[in-house]
Amino acid sequence: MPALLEISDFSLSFDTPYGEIDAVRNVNLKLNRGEILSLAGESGCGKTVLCKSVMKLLPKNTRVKSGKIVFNGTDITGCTEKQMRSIRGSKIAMVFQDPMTSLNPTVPVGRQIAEVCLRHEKLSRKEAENRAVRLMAEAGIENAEERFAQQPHFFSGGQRQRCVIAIALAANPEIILADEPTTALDVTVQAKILDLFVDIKNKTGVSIIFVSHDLGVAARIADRVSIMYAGKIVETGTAEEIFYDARHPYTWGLLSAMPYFAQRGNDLMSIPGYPPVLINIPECDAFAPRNPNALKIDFEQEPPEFYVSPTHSAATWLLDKRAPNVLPPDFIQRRRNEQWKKM
Amino acid sequence: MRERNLFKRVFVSVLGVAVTMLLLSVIVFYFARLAPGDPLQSFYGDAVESMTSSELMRAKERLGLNAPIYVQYIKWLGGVFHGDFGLSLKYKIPAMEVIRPLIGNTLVLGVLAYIIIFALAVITAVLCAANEDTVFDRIICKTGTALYYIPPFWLGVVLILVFSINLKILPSSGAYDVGKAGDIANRVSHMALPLVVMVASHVWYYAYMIRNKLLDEIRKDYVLLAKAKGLGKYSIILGHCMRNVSPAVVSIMAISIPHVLNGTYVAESVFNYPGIGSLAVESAKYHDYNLLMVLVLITCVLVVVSSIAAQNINAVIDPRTKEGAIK
Repeated sequence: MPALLEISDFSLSFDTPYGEIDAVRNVNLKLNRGEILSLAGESGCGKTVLCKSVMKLLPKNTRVKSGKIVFNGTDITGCTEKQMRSIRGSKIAMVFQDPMTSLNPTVPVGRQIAEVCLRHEKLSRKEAENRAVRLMAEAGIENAEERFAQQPHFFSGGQRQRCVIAIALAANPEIILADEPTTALDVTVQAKILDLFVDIKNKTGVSIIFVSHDLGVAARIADRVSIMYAGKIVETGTAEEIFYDARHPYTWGLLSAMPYFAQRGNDLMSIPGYPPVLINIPECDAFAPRNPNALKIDFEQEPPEFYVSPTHSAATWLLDKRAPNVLPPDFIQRRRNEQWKKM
Repeated sequence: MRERNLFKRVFVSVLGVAVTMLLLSVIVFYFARLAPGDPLQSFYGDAVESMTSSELMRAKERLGLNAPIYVQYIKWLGGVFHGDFGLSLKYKIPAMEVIRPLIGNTLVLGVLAYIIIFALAVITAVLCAANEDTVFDRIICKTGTALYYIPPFWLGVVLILVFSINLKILPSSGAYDVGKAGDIANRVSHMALPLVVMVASHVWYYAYMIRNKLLDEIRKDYVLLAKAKGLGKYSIILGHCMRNVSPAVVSIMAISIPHVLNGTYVAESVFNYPGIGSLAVESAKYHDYNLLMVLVLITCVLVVVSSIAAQNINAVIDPRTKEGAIK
């Protein structure tokens, strides 16, 4: 079965007064029907830009340099604004990071939901409103009928994000792009919203791209995980492969930086340095300067993608036949061994 | 409970209007009399020059202008409570009688100009905001700014020259031709040029303000979500942004009432249009104190009432601005 969304060799840059920013570089990504794909990585590595380019919601100074984004057999990069408008909301929906600002403060929440139904489906106002109430209830808002007419400031952060999710669901989309939907929420609410996403996926069969910089969040809900760094996808695999058998040093770094592992009062590990500025990136592995295990070739040549298994690939020279045997950090080895024992 | 609140609110508003008017009347009353010049001049004309000093004293006394200012004020205020706004010094009839036949003309001109200005301002602002930084937007911005800096009296004279003297299609002065007071077409043709002057000199100021408000609004997150819903840019601007900007627009509209009224003053003087605008200018020039007071109070009521109205309209649009909304 062909993938629902297939991004191939996609590169995109922004023209700025400081130069050309290569925000997304040669990305290959597949999203299958009914799966949750988590896109993880540090801030500023192109996760959001990638999502927005699927929706074509980027500013005017954006330039697509190469590649295709094929959704259901049509290439989105060639779509006109008018065609995009009929795709947005109805086929691909998006949930944004901050529910406090992504709802219009003066328009009743219910109307903001009903608006989508009215835009994309031939419903009467009354039908659209009934649908909106049902969606609010499905998204976990109590007394939906009463709350339909309230403005966003009557809702708490978590409830607002539920409303935004209801908006995303309003026209039965095939893909939901969730751009860090839990980052602005507190932890207890986060967990509930994550459960809601899994629920929605199980009920409606929608595919979800879940952007997050928190691997803990990704672990909880994702079927597959893609790790992004400096505008590239450096490692892709099923959730198990990424959590128990990561191969890219950057993924190791991200896994070590999860507070869960900072046991017995040890300092929390962090990756030294910052992600590179994406102007004039040299022809080498962008992670090399921050990588304690960097090889000489990392500074000279960009690594290709190596396949560990049909579902698991990573772009690091460590997987080359000639590479020295660099072992992942201890805890990852331990975890892998435990997992193997279980199997 | 609700009704009592409403009653209380109306009461407080009315009290506010009254207090504002009282304060304003004190200030204007005092300052008008501080201005150099002789009010007797406007009452007696050139005859003042041939009057003896004792005659002048008597004249002053008769007009009540020799008492200390606070005594004059108390007298005046007492008269106001009985509906007597005093005598116009220039026209020598009660001030109210002077204003009555003219206020209608000004209101028609002012209200029409007001509606056209804001309708045009909103339309221009929406078009500019939707096409931000395109050639269209830039041309409109440049022309608008140029238009705004054209002095209205000069524009008026040029318009008279072109349309009244050269083309002879529009009259140059007055509110209607003799004997055609009831003829609407005739009145409209007389108002056309003053309206053009007023609209031209005001519209860009407001259009630019609304345009910039809209541009601020367009950069907000909810617009991105609205785009992600598949809405087009005009439905986003009209359905979402305008709604959020409208409290500001309503406030601007409220504050602009005296501004536009002021515009009618200029237009009325240039086109010799019989209204209270030219009257106000005259009353200040000729020290026609009582007339001036009435005009000031009328303006004051307009301003205060419109700002109260704006507040209440805003509370309906955006309940967060309602008084006592945060509990």
